[in-house]
Amino acid sequence: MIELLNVSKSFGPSVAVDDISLTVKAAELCVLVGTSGCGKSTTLRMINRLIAHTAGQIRIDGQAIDQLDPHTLRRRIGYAIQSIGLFPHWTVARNIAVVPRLLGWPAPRIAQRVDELLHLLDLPAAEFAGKYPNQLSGGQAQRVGVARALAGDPEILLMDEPFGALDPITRDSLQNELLRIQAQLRKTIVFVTHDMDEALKLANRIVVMEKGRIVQQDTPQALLARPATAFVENLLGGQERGLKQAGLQRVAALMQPLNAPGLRVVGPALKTADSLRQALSLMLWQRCTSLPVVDEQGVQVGVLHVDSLLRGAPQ
Amino acid sequence: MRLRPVNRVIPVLVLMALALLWSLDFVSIQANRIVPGSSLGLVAAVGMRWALGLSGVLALCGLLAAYVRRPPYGVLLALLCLLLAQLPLSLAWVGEQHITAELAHARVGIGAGFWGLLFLLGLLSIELQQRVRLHRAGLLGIGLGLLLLTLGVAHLGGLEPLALMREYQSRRQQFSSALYSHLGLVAAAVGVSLLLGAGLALLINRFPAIQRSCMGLLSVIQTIPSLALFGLLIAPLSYLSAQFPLLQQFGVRGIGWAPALLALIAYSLLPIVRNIGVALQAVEPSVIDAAHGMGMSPRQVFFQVRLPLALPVIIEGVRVTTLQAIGLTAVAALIGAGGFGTFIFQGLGQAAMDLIVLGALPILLMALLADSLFSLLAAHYRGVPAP
Ligand SMILES: Nc1ncnc2c1ncn2[C@@H]1O[C@H](COP(=O)(O)OP(=O)(O)O)[C@@H](O)[C@H]1O
Ligand SMILES: [Mg+2]
Repeated sequence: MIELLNVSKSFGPSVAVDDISLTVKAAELCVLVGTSGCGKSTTLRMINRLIAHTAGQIRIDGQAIDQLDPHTLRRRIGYAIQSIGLFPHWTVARNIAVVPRLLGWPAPRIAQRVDELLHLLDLPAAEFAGKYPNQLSGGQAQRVGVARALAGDPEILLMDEPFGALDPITRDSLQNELLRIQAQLRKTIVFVTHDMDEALKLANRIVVMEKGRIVQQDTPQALLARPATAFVENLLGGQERGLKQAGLQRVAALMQPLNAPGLRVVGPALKTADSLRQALSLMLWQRCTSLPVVDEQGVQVGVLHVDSLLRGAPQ
Repeated sequence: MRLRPVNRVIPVLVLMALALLWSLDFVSIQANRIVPGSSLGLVAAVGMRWALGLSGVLALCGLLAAYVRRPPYGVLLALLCLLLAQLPLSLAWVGEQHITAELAHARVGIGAGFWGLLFLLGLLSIELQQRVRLHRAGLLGIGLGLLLLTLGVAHLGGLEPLALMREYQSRRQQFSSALYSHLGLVAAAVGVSLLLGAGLALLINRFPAIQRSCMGLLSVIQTIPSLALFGLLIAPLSYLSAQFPLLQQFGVRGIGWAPALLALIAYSLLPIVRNIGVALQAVEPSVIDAAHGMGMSPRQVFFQVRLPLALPVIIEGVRVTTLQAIGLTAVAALIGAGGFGTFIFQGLGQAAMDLIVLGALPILLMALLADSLFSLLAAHYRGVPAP
């Protein structure tokens, strides 16, 4: 658990973070979102003491971080950044092994851990372990960056716009990867982004920041339903809010299940895990009012009607 | 046969080599050290068969490179090694043919044609190294092989009639002491300025305020002509050694190695400090941020990340400095510092070309060797394969 109590940070006369209070519960994926320069990175970097806060208190599991040795603290906290910052003179395996080595793990345990992480991040060890960072694509490099952040098996993960520099398709797949990993590992994650869609997709809780202050923090659904200020509403995309909300809900929640076992479907169909936004898009494209829903094997399990889409899910 | 050559560089170099070989004198024969020699062209020097064989192999290289669809660069490299290897042998052959027992003091001078051929073969070897993607160490190996072969032929007495060898024979002692003092001065200057320079660079890193004045001072020193700096140091050092007899015991005097070493260090500091400074600064900030974020201590960040990433550029600085020091040490002979410059200035005084070459050739070899060794080292530490 991470607690920030009335934390501020000023650089000389300018105040970058202004009296914010925030609690991130264990196993929560908390996303800080806001326009650039609003103090997100500063907030994040105060948690692992890369930046010293000038007022207030930051606690991790109840312990004030200024009581801890900063290097020990950072080895307990995973850290991934937009520019990735892989060590160019080390192989992928050596890069991932950085924190375990700092922690003094025995060599066999480190080797095993590196293998585990390469597997977890879908980077076949045989192909990638010996490569150097300049031989990787942007997406592969950031996978290694995330693996490196996870290597010391930290409770806490700090991620500063980790997917910000990637193309939309790669970004999407890494976001899905992160959700999958989080479902499996259940870390306490603070994730910074300026992209509200990314925030809505990943977050258990969204913290909206503006000019160094927190203007609203809530679940994605609640945020969409009740933006506190015009700034938040604007950030949520104004008129596109309906689509963003539909993007948060799955087809499975609204479809009518089949009574009898279904057949394989040929032609346009939805998957249970698709979002309502995708469903709406496909209906628009196909000019139809209902679509079959299939499972992973392509066998029909239900039907989605546009009426139920419009009625919406029970909130 | 097509008219457009596949490779243009090699045929052009070959044509130039052939032109030089057949138009310039290959060697000259002097009856003794004083009298002017008579020049011999290629055929007169080595005989028609050797001349044609040599030209034939050269022409073959040119034709293979120009008109074979995929030029067999490996074969060309082998032929090149053959051409290089015959150089010392041809000189031995010339001696055998032209220096007879009656002419005990006669000597063979190496002519422009020979030097031209050596130079062009050198260019060819660089071109071929890139074509066959030979490691740079391979080129160094070929060079060292050629040197060893030449030394071997010389050791067996085959090069005895060469004017260069005659000059060497009468100065064996001086030659080895010149070698030691030249190497010693260069090593001491580079070593000391590496230590001082590293200290200074770290100091500048810590206190950026002193950067301008430090770099300004070092740049000013760099602009003083070397001869002037050597001269300027004579007075203060004479004074010091007169004041402190202890210094005299260590050989510190107004002339000799002491002012030379000081001047060399003064010249070496700028490239060293600048390269270390630039190299340490040039490490990408995100990498340093990540290193801190992973929980490395400042020491670990420096020794595991910053320094290894800066090392290739630092070695590059040491390479430049070493080459500069090798050249400057030659000038330092003027203030009695010893080294191969001694022979050059003696030779200039006596108008003895071979004595000048006896001084210049080892300097050139040292420079080439230092250049390739440090380049190899830098490439090794760069280490990261190309993307
Ligand atoms: N080291 C620093 N020195 C001075 N000002 C800084 C420093 N780091 C950040 N700032 C300022 O603090 C504010 C917040 O920056 P940051 O936290 O990086 O914003 P964000 O990550 O939300 O884009 C900005 O106005 C920035 O200029
Ligand atoms: Mg930022």
